[in-house]
Amino acid sequence: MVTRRAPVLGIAVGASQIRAVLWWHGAIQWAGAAPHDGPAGLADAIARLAGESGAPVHRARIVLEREIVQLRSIVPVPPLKPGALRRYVSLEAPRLFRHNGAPLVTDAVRVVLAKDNAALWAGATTEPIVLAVLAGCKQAGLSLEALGPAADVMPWATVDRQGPLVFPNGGTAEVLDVGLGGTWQSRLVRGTGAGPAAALTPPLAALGVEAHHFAAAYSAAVALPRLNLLPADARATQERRTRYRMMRLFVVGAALWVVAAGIYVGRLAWIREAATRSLGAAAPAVDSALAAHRDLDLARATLGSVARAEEHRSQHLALLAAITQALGDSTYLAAFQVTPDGVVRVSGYAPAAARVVAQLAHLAILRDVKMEGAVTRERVADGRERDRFAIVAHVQGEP
Amino acid sequence: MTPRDRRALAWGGAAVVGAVLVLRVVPWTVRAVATLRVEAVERMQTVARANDVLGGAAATRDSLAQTLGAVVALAPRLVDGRTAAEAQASLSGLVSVAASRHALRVMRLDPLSDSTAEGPFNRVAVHVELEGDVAGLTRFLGAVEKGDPLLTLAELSVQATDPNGRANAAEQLRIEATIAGLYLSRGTK
Repeated sequence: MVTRRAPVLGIAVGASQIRAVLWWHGAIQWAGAAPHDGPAGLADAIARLAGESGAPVHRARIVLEREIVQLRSIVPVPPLKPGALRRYVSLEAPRLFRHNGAPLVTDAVRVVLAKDNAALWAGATTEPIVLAVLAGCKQAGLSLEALGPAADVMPWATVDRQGPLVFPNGGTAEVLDVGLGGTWQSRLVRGTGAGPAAALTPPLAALGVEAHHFAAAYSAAVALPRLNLLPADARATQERRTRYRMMRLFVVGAALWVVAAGIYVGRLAWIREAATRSLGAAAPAVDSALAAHRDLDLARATLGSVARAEEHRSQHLALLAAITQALGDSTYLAAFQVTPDGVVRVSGYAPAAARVVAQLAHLAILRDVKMEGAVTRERVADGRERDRFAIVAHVQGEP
Repeated sequence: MTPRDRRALAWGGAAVVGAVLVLRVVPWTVRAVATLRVEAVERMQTVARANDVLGGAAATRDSLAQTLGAVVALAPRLVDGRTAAEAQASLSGLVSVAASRHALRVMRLDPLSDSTAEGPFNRVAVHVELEGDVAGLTRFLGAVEKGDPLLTLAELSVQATDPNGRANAAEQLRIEATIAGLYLSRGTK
């Protein structure tokens, strides 16, 4: 909750004294105090302190010290919704808080004490004090960010922030009971309380002996109280202002989205146009290069066709030579045929037809060599008898 | 008109405008932007491809010059003629010359219709019947299968006219062959 942005003035309003701390860049830049004589002089005192801070400050968070604010704890918390709790305390204010004739400004929140236990934490102060605070802020040109009891934020001034915390202040001491959800009970006791004073945070401890007096102002600067003690119309104004700020944020966000979308679309359109212009400028050169590509493909296809034709060129002379060399001198060929589908038919005369099949089967250029039809024995011109054979085979590599 | 009426009108108007925006304008805008994005990406890719093509144009032209040189060198490997008839006449002449040069008698020579295309080339074929001896046949086959132009024997049949003839008599062979070649037809670039 510690803020590091623009400087903020934390102001603690007591019964007769106002203390202020200027918080900026994670350190106390200035601390000062001024007396006041009640609601009538409160506004002037706030304005005077804001002017003495020595820095242009526009934000203020104000807490009311224990003497001018009444705090009550109700355990267990009534089973009401958060909004209803505030109305409940407002309605029950005459019973819960003391009156001195002035109207009261009240607020209440639910504070978690343990896992299954909670308390109603309620606060009240007189309306003249609140109005004087508002007037003082207006005079000083300060934007009031929060107005609540000091006890609500005092744990932020300590190192521990848990358990009973004792804050001595002259002859009295304020004892705070702090639970999981923050302060839930405040008691003003005589003397210095039941235990030692709470150890203060280093930025506050740097103020030395005055540190305990400025604990509330410091806490107001670094933390926001949960109880809001603004009067109804001021609270409504604050809510309206918050709504307006949210709306403005939403509108700015939407406008940024629209601008981003516009830039994106513009960039796409620009890319498209640039690409179109580039293509138009390069069209003649690209057409020429593509035509060269097409011509090159065609020329390569032409060479490929001739290469394929060369590859499939017939080898009948080699086949004929291989067959005649494989057969013996006593074998005569009467017919030789090669068909387009690679079938080779050879017929002729040989002393033993079976030997011819064996001789041809050894040729690597032929496969599936076998007899076609029956072998007959015939007498040839030289008077000898020979086998008349007909053999069929396939040229290797053909289907 | 009461403030309540004005508020109702304002909310109603806002609802109508919102509905039009959400149901019509926003979807149309999203579609238009998506289309624009696709077009922009495609054009960028086209530009990148065009740059690639332009970057390799010089190398392509060099390759084209070399490849065209190789294509020109193919001319002797093709049968003369720009039409099927011219090519068949040329092929018939080639076959006749080859046969007569190798002591083979041309008995018959028929052009065959063959419309098969081999890439940019067309095929031309003739069927020939020859008579002669083994030596002539061997030389004829060598001339057809080894020399230029690039010819191939699609079919070959060799028959001895008298297989039981005298042993010391010269053999007579009857040869039938289908010979095919390639030609560049008219209209081919």
